[in-house]
Amino acid sequence: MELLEGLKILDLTTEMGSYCTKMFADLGAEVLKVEPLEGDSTRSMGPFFHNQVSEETSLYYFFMNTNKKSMTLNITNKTGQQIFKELIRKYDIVVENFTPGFLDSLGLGYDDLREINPRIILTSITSFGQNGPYSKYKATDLVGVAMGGLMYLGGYPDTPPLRPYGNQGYYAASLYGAVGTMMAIYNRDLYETGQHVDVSMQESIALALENSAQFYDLEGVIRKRVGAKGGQAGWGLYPCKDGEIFIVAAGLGGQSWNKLVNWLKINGIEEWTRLEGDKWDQPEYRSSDEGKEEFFEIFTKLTMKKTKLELYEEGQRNDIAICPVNDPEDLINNPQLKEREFFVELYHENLKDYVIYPGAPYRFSETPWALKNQPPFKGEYTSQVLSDLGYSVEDIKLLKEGGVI
Amino acid sequence: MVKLPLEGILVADFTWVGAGPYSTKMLADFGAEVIKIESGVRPDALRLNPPFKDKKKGLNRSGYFSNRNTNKKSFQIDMSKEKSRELIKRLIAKADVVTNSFTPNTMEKWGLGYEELRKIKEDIIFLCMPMQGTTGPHKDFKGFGATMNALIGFNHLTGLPDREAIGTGTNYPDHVPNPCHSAFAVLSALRHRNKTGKGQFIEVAQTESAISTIAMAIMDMANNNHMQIRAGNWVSYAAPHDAYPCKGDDKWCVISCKNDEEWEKFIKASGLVHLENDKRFQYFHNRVKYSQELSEIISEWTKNKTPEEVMHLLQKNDVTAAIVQSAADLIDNDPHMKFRNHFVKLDHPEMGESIYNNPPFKLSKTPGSLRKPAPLLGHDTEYVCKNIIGLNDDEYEIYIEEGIFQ
Repeated sequence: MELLEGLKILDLTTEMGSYCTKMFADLGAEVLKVEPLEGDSTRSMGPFFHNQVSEETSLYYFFMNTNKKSMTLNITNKTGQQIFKELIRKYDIVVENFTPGFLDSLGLGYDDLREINPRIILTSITSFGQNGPYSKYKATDLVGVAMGGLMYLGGYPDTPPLRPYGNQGYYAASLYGAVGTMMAIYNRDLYETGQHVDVSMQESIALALENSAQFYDLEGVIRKRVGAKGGQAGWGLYPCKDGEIFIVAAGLGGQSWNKLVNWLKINGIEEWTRLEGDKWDQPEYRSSDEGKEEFFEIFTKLTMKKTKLELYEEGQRNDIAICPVNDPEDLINNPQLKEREFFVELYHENLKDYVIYPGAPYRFSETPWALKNQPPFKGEYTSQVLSDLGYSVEDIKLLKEGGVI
Repeated sequence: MVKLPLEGILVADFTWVGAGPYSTKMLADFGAEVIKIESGVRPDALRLNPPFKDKKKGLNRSGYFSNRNTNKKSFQIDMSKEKSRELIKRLIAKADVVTNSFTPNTMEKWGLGYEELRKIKEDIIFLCMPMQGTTGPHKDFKGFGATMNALIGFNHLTGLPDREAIGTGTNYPDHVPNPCHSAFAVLSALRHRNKTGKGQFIEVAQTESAISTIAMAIMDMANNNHMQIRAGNWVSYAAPHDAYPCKGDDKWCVISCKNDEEWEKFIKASGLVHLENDKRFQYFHNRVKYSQELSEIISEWTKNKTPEEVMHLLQKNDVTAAIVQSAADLIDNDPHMKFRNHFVKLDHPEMGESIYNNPPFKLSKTPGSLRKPAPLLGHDTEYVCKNIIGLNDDEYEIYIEEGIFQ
């Protein structure tokens, strides 16, 4: 038995919510994408497999839609809405990321769905949540990370704030949305009642501000972007022979400081003695430009002699939290990920080729995560879904001609 | 009062520092009884990291710690003692979930590995969150969210291409992918246990969980042999797409146009109508190509306006725009966050009224709630011993004399 076997989800999501439903699909839930006739908008998002642009080759779409099924359905059309309502009797979780009010305007809002199926859980993953003054403001990922406060912490002091790579606003909304949805499912299993789960991208990102809200509240300090010069001596980026390393031997890793000094000593870096003494116990000195520069000068005498992998393995053997600044190629060749067989190759029928995916975010002893099925072609299951609802071949033909499917 | 979903679930929580406590906080906010098992000898590092109330360092004064530990109980115990481990086993016998974020083998060394615990509680759900997993050549390597950013590629991918690989400026994986994957996994496993009677062992290798959030760079490399690198605010799917300076000290707005229609609306709303005939900006692919030039022109337009003015003016005209908000903006100046009641103040016994984040997902019938601020170190030791484990007064006194509650 798979972990989420038996859960049935209607998936109306695109960019903002698709990682949420992927989490369910990869653990065995049945996830049926309900795509508009022109297809899920992520189908047009790059990069594309072997750089061949088409609606069935987007790597973005692939990643977000493994193990799902797809039907097309025009839910802005009356007949389409009727079919959607019929599906609501058979599926009892809906995940969507439309602007608040859109589903209501189609007669498919939470109250409408609940009348058909009182067990229904509707998860709405939106930019700002279902209500409030900005709820209908337009947003992309950029708006999420800007309004949520994360972008203010990213970038260099002399540049504009910079967003984190990879649509983290969408990811945060999806990830917190998945937890909220599972919480509602757990509750329904116990008490037989569905509910509306309202997820805000802005608030999801506001959870990622580390201690910034508390810094402002308790110390009156507004944290800003600090670039590479951030933090203090012994914390952050340092150049090495073939790139950069990142070390945390201050702040949270402060107990490693002496180990770091010792590491310099056993490598014959004579200036190690300058890192002893009381001034290095003072956060004020360690955070000062003088302190940072002094440390930089001494520490890089070691780092510039070695590669990032050498520093990583040696430093870790000395019990110091140090690691290489890896690029994607380093990751694919990473000995740890290789040994653990992290990456997954999934055969795609239409490509007649294997596509390589990042692997499991978690490993379960009894009910493993698995990539079993390639992401669906647009509308691959439309006919099957409709025939399961009792529509004849002739009906389906008419629906197609009528622009419903 | 409506029952919260996780009422009656008992979590023996050994997680500390970043990602782990954020995971179990979600369980606590939705009703689980989360017992934070802590040592005073080697306390959770966040208890001693700033910010502190009135800038005064103290085990019960850190806001960094407090925000991750709402609704939990603190059980102070020195795990290096044999007697402590016996007592902890009696707690685990009553627990549904055991969590930890130690390096591999820590729990096993204490005799508290999954196989041992199954003998005490057959259907236990055991979540471990080691940095890089429990197997493999680097399993014992240590790190934090910030080193993980570098290790998994966030640094390489965030910042400007000709400058240092700076990453997000935070311990990002600790706040989003790792706590969410972990909480999702535990909830799923609890549900499975309720249905089948079976517990299980769950491993969230923090690096592997976080790699999900940079999947595109990995897939582009693995399948296309194409190396992505940090590109500032540039993206292929929108232009303009950047942060622009505004009136005031370090004030910025963002604007994003995904297609011709949005671009035309932007030109009209901003009054930059001369751009319509500028050859560099005709057609989407040109705007992506000349995005730097575009940013310079738009900056001239934004620099004498506040970010609020830009956002409201453009949004009124159906153009995607927003403020680059600081934490102070979010707390003091954002009417929407106020309306949503995102930040709440809780009265902490030592810190007084201080700020906490509400959950970012609202459940209409069983909303989670912040009922209690973070616990003082050891605040609930006696309660846990007597009311959960079931020690009588004499037994409790004996343990005190043994000196294990440290």
